[in-house]
Amino acid sequence: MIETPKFKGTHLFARLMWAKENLEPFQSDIRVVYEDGLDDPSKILVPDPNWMACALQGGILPPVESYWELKKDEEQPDFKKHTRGYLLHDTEPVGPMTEEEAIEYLIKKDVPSHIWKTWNDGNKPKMVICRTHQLPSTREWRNAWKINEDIELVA
Amino acid sequence: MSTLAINTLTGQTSASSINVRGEGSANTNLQQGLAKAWISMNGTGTIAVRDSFNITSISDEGTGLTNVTIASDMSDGNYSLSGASGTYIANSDNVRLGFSTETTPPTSTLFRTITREANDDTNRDVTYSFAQVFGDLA
Repeated sequence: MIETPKFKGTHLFARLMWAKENLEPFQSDIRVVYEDGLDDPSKILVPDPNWMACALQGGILPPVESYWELKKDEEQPDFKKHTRGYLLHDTEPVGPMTEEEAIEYLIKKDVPSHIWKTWNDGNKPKMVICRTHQLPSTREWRNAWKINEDIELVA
Repeated sequence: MSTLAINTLTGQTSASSINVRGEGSANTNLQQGLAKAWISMNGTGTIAVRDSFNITSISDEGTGLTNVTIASDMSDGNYSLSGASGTYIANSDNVRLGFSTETTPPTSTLFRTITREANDDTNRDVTYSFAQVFGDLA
């Protein structure tokens, strides 16, 4: 396995360029299905293969908390441009993750926080993690989708 | 003829800006001309990423709707997006790709693509959709 250079202080974009040059994309078949709105179909989150390669390799991606800080900045009414991009570039990168840990990171980064923070509050889960073969592939199904109330939860 | 072998180009006056002589006396700028993210997606069946750069995930948000999330954030949501789409679905080769600006406006880390049948303007999942991002990184 190729060794990751010491990337702390290197712009995240440059790290991703290194990864694109040196790492094989990893096609995960894990999907995250979640509901965000009573009238909307369930949404399906698909991890990017090049990003997954970075997550599994380690030493490339910033802690997910860095993204949260930038998101907070962007939600301010007087936001114009990011001024704390260094949080992505100068924070110690996270180490290698398992596929499951990478999906957990991705959920915390890309799924709205009001979903993953309260995914199992209420009468039924709002979010499930599954494999691609468990997903109906036709749109006739998907636009009518809701997460099955009898679904067996995986710890 | 000579070959320039180099790993990093850095501006002398400003490290993050390199001018390239354009037409006539115009100076163009190297950094402003580079795509900061790109993606090739299959939006049919269970959606998938064919290849990409600087993307963390995509999300199927409904027929013809896909959220794309950026890994190395842009400086704001005012970047420029371009894209195209195509499909193998019979009688549906006339599709077009656009970007959501009202319901899901671009942010520094997310944009939404919309693919539609050009003939009747209904949303359509397509076999190929492509998007590129130009602008400033955070």
